[in-house]
Amino acid sequence: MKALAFRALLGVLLLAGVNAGALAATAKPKTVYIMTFRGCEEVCTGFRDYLERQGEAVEFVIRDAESSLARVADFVAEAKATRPDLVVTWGTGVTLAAVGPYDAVDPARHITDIPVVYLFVGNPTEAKIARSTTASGRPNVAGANTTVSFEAQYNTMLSYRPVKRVGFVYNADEPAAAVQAQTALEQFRARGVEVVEERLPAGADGKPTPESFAPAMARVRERQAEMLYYVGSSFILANIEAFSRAALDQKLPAFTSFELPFRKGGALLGLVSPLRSVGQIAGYQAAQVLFAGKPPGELPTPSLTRFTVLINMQAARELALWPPMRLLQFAEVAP
Amino acid sequence: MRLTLRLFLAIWLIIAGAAGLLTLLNHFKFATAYADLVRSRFAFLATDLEQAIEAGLSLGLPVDQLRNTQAVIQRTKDRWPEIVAIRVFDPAGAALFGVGASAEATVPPAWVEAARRSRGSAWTLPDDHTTTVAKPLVNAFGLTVGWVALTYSHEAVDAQVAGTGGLLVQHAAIGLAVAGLLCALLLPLLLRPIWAEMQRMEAAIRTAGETPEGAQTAPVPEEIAASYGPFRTAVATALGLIRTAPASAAPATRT
Amino acid sequence: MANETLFRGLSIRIVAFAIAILVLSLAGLSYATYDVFDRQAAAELDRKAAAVADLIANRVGRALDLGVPFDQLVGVEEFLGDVIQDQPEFASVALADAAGREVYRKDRPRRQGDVRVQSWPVTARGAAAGAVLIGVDSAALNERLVGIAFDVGVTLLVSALISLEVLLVLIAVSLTIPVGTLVTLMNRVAGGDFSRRVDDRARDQVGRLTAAFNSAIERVNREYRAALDRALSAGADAAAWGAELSRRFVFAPAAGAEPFAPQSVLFIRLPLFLFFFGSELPRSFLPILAKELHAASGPTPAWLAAVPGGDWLAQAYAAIPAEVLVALPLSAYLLGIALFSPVAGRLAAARGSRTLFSIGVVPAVAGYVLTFLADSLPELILWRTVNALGFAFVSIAALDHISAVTTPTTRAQGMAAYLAAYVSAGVCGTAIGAILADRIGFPPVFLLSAVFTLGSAVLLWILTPATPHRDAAPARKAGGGSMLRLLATPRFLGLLLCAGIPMQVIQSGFLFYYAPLLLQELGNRQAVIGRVLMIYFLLVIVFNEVLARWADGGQRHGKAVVIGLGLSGCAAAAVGLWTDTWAAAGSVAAIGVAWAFSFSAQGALLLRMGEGRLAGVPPAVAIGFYRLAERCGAMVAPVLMSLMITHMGFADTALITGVGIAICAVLFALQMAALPVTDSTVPETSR
Repeated sequence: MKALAFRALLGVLLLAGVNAGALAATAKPKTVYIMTFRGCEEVCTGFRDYLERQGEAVEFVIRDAESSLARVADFVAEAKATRPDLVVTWGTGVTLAAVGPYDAVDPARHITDIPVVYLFVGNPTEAKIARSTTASGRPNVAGANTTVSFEAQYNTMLSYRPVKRVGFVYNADEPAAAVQAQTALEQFRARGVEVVEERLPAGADGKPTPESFAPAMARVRERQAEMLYYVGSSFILANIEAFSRAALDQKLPAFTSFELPFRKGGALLGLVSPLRSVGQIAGYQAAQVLFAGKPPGELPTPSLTRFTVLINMQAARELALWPPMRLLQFAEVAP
Repeated sequence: MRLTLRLFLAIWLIIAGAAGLLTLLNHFKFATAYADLVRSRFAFLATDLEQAIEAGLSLGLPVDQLRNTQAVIQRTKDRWPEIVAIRVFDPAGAALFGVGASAEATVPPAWVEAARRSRGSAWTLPDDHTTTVAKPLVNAFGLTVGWVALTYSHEAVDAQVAGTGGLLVQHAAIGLAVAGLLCALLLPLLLRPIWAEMQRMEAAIRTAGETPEGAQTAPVPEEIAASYGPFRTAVATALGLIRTAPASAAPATRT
Repeated sequence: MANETLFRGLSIRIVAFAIAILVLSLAGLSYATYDVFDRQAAAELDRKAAAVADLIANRVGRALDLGVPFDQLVGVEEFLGDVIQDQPEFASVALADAAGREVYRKDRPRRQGDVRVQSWPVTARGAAAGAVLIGVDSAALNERLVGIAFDVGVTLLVSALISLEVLLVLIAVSLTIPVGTLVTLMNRVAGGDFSRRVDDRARDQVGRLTAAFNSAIERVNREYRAALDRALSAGADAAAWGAELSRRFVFAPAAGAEPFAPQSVLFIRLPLFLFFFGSELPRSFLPILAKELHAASGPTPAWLAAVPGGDWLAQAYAAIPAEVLVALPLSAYLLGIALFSPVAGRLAAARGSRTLFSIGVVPAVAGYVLTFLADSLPELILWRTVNALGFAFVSIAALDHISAVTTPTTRAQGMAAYLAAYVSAGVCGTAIGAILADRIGFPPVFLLSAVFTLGSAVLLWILTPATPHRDAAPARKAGGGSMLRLLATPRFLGLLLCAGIPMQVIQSGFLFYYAPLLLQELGNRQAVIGRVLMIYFLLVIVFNEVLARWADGGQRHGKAVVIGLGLSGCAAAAVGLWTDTWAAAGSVAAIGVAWAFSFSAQGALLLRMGEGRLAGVPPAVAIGFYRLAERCGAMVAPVLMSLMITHMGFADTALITGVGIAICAVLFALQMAALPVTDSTVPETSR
């Protein structure tokens, strides 16, 4: 902990070296208390970089829950004792543990009187962190909406190739995956796109097996789906290489809005929120609170307006499905 | 032929005025259209740079960390000799990347002002010898995080426009000479019948009352014809009466 | 008086010849200009094509590098279309493979002229992979130059109008008027009058002709005097002879025949045209200039407070709402004209019209030069008032001159000449002023106005013979009493309120204030605004006489006024419904026709009412009052429009104005039905 604080201080001093005038003018550096789940990864770094670039002195205190939500309670207690200028929470779990759902706030366990900016929360309204999509509706909480909108996903798919029928292959056993599949299904149908659904059958232990991928893909292919829409689930993520292989073997191009399946698997096309952007957008909100003195509850919830299009040329070559020039202009291409 | 000369001068001066005005207007129009064309080329190049830099911004990198920006702008500058400088700067005016520019850490205040006034859309800032076109750099969450400004010299453009002006004036001068020649040749032809009629009329009036009635059928222009008859009759009558003055009484005076 | 039909054929031939030469010259010049532009722009077009080709080659090369086969590139046409979308210089763009076969191609929907195809290489993986082929439209710059066609048209029209104006006056002064005088004097001789000779010192054939006439007169007079001398010395029978002669003839006195100086309104027409031309140059941009100056100088210009007593003035100025201030230059100008006109009338009586004209030029020129230097709105308002002084003097001088050289029967024609000079100057001045402002900015146009105004004074001294000095202007009894009595007359009041003032609101409010601002708001260039306003003047020229004759023909003056009002109302309302440039242009055109319908008809109606229905006020005096009251409407109109625009926006302002005027049309139609106007007394000629 001391080492962390020292590092933060060092950062401030380095910054002061660059911008001594600004530091001299500022009486006291602002303290930002960051609660992370698995250390300060790319989103967290993007956030810190953004704040440091604002030319004001900021001191960071970073706490790592080491993948255990139980530890967040300690962080909350520490924050209440040290009263930093801002608390930053990483991910839905940590955020919920720190501020509670809006309909069940307990001032004893949750932070209610220190500004909180949350990072990297997939769906803040559904998780009951924010009351609406436009503002948090809570006096001390702010955060951004960084999910890739379905509209943007759909347009990206269409700009690659015309799609009238998509395939879903997912593990219906996981509730999160079922919810995502249902939402996406409604969105596709609303746009006149047919959905071919394949739920992975349960294996001997009641869980699906990677061996079920190939026949599922074959059935999807048979029913003439033009593209596979990746429905996120822990099981598939764990077997992403086999999953992608099965799709490619059936000449099924895949689309994903998650970065990991693209990086590790063979999805042809992806549309993702770049992690650093997610951090930046939260940094932007934090700056409003810290330097412009705006109450967090009054900040509008910003959304990402531009996402990164990812194209996997290896998959493209295998499928002989070439990216259109327009898309190629803006896409990040994996060769 | 004073009237012919007057008409010639009037027509020629009006044509000169019209041709002069038209040449002036054309020259202005050409200057604007040509400068527009040149600007559109550099705006096109600036847009290309903008897209290249924004592709990096979309990945979530801050502008000043886009290391390949320097290479991108250098390549564009090398390709087009008219480009004086290309600079990438943040909204506060701090220069982030630059080629051909002075080593100053900030861009001219006029740029920052123009950027502020443009409210996030492209702007153009003409100067005495150069023009700067700038495009906004918008990051992934719709914020303008900087500008790419391309400054090009328009001295060659000015020279070209001036040369065109000279050509236009030459054309106008030739046109005026031809028009003048046409007028000088054709106007007298147009007026000759009138002069001829008037000449005959002049003779008729000069001798009115001197020649016997009917002996001279004056070929007068119809405009005067109706009045000429009674006039001649009156002159003849008056002269006749005057000449019957009792001059015979003269001897009486002598006595 | 010069005979109207004298040398008409010749005049037509000469004007036609001049216009033919004009058209030929300008057409030739335009053609040559386009040629020059094409050649001059070619190199730049190639450079731009290279920039575009670079980009395409780059992107295509990248796709090829990534392993996309050349013949399987996806969406190339859309991509090419995107690239040349906003580049009208490129008619087509294509992509050829390494073998030179054109594989992809995108054409612009509209192709024109010759297309020059240029080629740039595409490289991928270090080898030539194909080529970008760009079709450079050699006539492409023309698209950017499309406004030039309008400029040529406007210049042609304006110079044709000016030729008409100048040539007709020249022919009149050098030919028609001397020969007309000759005819007049020959007719006098036919009646036995040998006392006048033609006053013409021209050294051309016309001069020789008049000289021949003069010598004939001289001969008769000489012989007469000689005979008289002889007869007197003889004494005998002289009495009977002399009595017979003087019964039948009038001879010149011994000093010689008296020169007969011709008088014509035509002498003043050219100077007047130039003066009006100068005053119309800023017409189309004045409201815009006022707005800009107000924005630049802010609520109170610093110098205002520095003026003695300026504190109070500055406060008062700051208290006026911005929208009223911006309309003030136009209103102050009209107010100035109304205030200075009576002064000018008295001066005309005392000094003669030529002197008055020359005096008027001084404030006019000063006003223009000061306006050129003005950099704040109060200055603009002030200097426009100085201009108004000049305009009042010159226009009164012109009217005084016209009434001096015309008889009651030819006065209407004299007025027509005045109006024609005003309206054709309106066409030419508005259009040229707008085009020039577009290129050289607003202020320099005022300097040009000053030059034309000076030119008008010079021409006046060259062309116009000194006017016979009238001892006193016919005293017009114009007491306030008759004004009140007139206003108590239902017919007069109705005409004034339902027709006179609404038509002024349409002209100075809607046409001269609202329209330029709206057109600017819609993003039009100054030249376009000028062209649109020009339509109004053009249509007044075209329809004025035709419609006046139509109204005179069937005593349809009441109907003409109603039609004019209704048309104006619809025109304004249409702008409210479709607030775009075409609606505005159509509306301006309709208002031109409406004015042609109603302007002279209003005067005619007043005349036809006669003294009996005008509370004993002579119709000519009533017209004077009518015009004065109208001018008050004209002054208020821009301010009113400006307030309405601020509070309701452009569309509603037009709609409400239109509906209001349409209601006036209905009211006036009802008035005509209830209180018909029929010829009562002997018609008197309008002033």
